[in-house]
Amino acid sequence: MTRAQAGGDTAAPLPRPVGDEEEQLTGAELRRLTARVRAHNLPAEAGRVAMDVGEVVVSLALVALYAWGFGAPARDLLGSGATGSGPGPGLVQAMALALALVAGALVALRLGPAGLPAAGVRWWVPTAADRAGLASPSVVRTVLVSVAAGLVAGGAPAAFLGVDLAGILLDAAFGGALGLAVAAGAGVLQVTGAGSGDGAGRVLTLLLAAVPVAGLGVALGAPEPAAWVVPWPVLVAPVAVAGGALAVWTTRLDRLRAGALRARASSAMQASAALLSLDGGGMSRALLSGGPTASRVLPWLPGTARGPASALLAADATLLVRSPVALAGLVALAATGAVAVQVPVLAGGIGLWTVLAGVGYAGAVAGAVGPRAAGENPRLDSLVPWGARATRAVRTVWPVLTAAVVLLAVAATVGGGQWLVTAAPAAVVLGAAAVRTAYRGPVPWDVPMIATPAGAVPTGLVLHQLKGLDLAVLGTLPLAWAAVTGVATPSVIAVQALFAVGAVLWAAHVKRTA
Amino acid sequence: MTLLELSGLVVGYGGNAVCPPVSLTVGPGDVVAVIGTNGTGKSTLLRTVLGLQEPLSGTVRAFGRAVDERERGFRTRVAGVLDDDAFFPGVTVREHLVLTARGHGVRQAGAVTDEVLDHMGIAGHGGAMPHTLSSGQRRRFLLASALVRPRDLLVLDEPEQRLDSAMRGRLGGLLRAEADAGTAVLFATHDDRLLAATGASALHLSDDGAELVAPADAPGVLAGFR
Repeated sequence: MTRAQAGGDTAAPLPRPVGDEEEQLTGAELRRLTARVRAHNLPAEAGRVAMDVGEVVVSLALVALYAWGFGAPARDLLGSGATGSGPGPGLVQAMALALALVAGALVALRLGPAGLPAAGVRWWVPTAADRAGLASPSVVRTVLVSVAAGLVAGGAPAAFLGVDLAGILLDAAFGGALGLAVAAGAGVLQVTGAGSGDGAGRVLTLLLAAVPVAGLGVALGAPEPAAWVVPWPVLVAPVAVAGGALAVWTTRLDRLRAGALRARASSAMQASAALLSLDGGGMSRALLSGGPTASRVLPWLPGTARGPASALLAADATLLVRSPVALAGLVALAATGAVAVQVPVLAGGIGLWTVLAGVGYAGAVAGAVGPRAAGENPRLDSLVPWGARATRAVRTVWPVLTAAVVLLAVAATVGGGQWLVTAAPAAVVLGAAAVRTAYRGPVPWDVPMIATPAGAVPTGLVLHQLKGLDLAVLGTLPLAWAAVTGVATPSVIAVQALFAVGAVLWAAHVKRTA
Repeated sequence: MTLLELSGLVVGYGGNAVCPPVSLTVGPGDVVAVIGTNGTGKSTLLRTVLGLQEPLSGTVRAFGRAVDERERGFRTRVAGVLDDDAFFPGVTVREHLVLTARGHGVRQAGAVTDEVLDHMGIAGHGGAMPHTLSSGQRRRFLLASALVRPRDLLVLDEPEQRLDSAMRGRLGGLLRAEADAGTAVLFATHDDRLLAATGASALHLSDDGAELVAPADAPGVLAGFR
């Protein structure tokens, strides 16, 4: 085939644009010009901004009031001296702040901290405009959000635990400074490229598990730490670190890599969509998924499949062991449960059941990596030559085991074995509940809302969120009975075992469609 | 003069190579098509050339320097179009292109944009919002974004995708004209007619290695595994 035959000689000459230094826009100018063009085409409605700000202020005030309201029972709970032993308010303060910082660092690394919208990455980044000018608004946003989140993470626990106003302000300032240090530190990793690999994420994942484990160690081995107030000289250190990191970050914004900006824009878009549709699975995928990097952990595991059942088990096990966040989450849940039962009121009775059912269900959900993947992509189950019920029933195995591991850890800490025999079939219920959660599908927004004095209730959303949790609560009622009475009679164990069978059948149930 | 030089370049993800080591030299006016079956790493290779991801091993040099897309000098001379379309809400097709041209300091950006829009056959859609375009028109629009700005090296990932046959024919002539004007063109393609129209030599990626195929033989090689 010749060029003429292929029709290639018909094009007219194109213009040959040449860049002119004097005409060159800076990043800030290009960003502002885009905003002006957009504003011209889509004029803002009068008062819209004021209304949005007003809504945010009212919402924040309501959250603060709710938080203050919950503070009194939390203080009572932690201070109840039925056995004279507990984690102590100071430990609760420290764990809350540490977990908030680790979570903040994870989010900062995934969604920024400096970034651009997807359109900005596509249209601005390849131009000659400087990246500092393009990305500076995102830096300002990140700084404000990180300081605000730090203020809340530092100040709210202190407020809950009855610290005086001056102490609350000092703790809040400490949290704010640490929040800024975390965000700016993530920014330094971003501009130096050190945060682009898996290393920083792995460290943070380890920390996510290490904080509750350290908390457990303190709760078991040290006297109850009282609520603390940071002395003001201590504030100097995080402020200095944050200032230094901020200076390095903001002066090197031109070193931001286009590839990293693209990945972050994609994650941010996924996270925004998940947030708008209240899709928890989508949110965790956006924030925690490892990207295209292939994991080689236990490479022999998929090869152990010998039939449909073992294929499902091998696939789900592979996904689980290659999900560091799920594994770290399991450790964190086990340690958190063990810390929680140090509070006297949670060491027995209905409080113990609440902890067991809560962390057990969360452990099962953490272990349901495979069922979640199948729930989000129905084609996966259709690859197995089995019906949907049998497939879902087999998929309960790993969530059951992870729930059992968490329950066992809590049981070992609390030292009571009365209800352990009941807890084993209860783990089956919790695993089944996690599978029901995994297969709950998208939110049914077409369900009518219910009008209440407090406003409209989105019924479909509520029903969606309860799917799975309902089974966890109802299915562990025999466990609750055992925990309240402190005696696991054979009849209670038998009833819990029956509930376990029923739970698996319920979780595996699939509605027939016409 | 060498504009682009790949030396023992291996690309991939997470330490896993997706194509064999590639060595290639591209000078002004050269047109090189990257061909290969699905999954042979064509797009990954182009992303690496554009500096959007790091090579696993080997080197990529453009204009005598290691590729670093953060350098302004690199961005002013390299235009790339991959298969990613994201648009500013409330900004029209023409305005997107004018912004691109202004971002590169192009004088009379509006006039240049109008000329390119006309050339790409979407002059009548300049005032439209990008999301209202058909997929083929959107492809023309994205290609136009590489033509409203200065360029010494043009990198395109399957530019023929979603284009009708008439536009594919014009695209061949357009790429040839680019090369005749001194631009080096590197593009991935599955279209042997486009390959023939551009008169490109082909970098054939396969499990057996990377092989440079002469322009006369390239369409035949591509048709052989297409």
